[in-house]
Amino acid sequence: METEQVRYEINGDCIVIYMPREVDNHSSRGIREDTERLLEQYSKRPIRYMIFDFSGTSFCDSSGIGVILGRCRRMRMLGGTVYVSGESCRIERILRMSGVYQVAERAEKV
Amino acid sequence: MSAENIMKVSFLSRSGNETLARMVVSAFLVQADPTVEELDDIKTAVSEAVTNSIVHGYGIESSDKYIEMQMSIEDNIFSIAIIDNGCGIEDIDKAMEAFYSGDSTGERSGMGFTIMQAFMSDFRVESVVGEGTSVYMKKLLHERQV
Repeated sequence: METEQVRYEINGDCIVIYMPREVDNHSSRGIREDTERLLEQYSKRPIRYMIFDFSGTSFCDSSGIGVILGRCRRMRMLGGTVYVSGESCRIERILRMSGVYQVAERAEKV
Repeated sequence: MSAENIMKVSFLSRSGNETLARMVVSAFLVQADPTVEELDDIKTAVSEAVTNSIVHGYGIESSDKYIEMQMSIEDNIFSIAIIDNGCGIEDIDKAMEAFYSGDSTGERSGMGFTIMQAFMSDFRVESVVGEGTSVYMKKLLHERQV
């Protein structure tokens, strides 16, 4: 299966991750690897804010939750914060069930 | 009119085939005309079960490990079995616990079984260590119309 391209935007100490249309085990793996690489690459002027933008996402399962929870842990270690934005009510439901809102902030708009 | 149909498919245990599994199930469900919410619930639950087989059941990607899906529609009930011949689950009760994951990297949410239970009308797991795991799920469709 062809993997959708995920877009990353870095502005100062903030990274926005534009989540793919379908967030599952397969697409999550690339997001995890890419964000870890970028955090490493920008470690001299550290990224403090990480925003997961779900406005283009129509499907997300627990593998997507895993990648967010993993990044929350990483960002906390680095003294940063994770935000979630643009999620549909379907995705909001699964994020809520999985306790994402207990460790990530909600951003109204990126 | 209640459509009655049965489908069996097998595909390789490979990252990327989660999408294939969701597409196959969605295509099969067209005849039952589920609501957007029902279809989304089923796709999510199937994705969780197939991911479990790929990540935990078989663990490593290989060229000769298959995941089988058997599905049927009868009287507005969608039934599906997702079967692997992987390593099996030692402690099913433990695996069912929310936020528990057999994976120790901290990169998995441990929510797979919890989501399957929450999103489907009926859910059952059978597993034999060293032989494999089968997940059986049902979803009542058009409940609000009854």
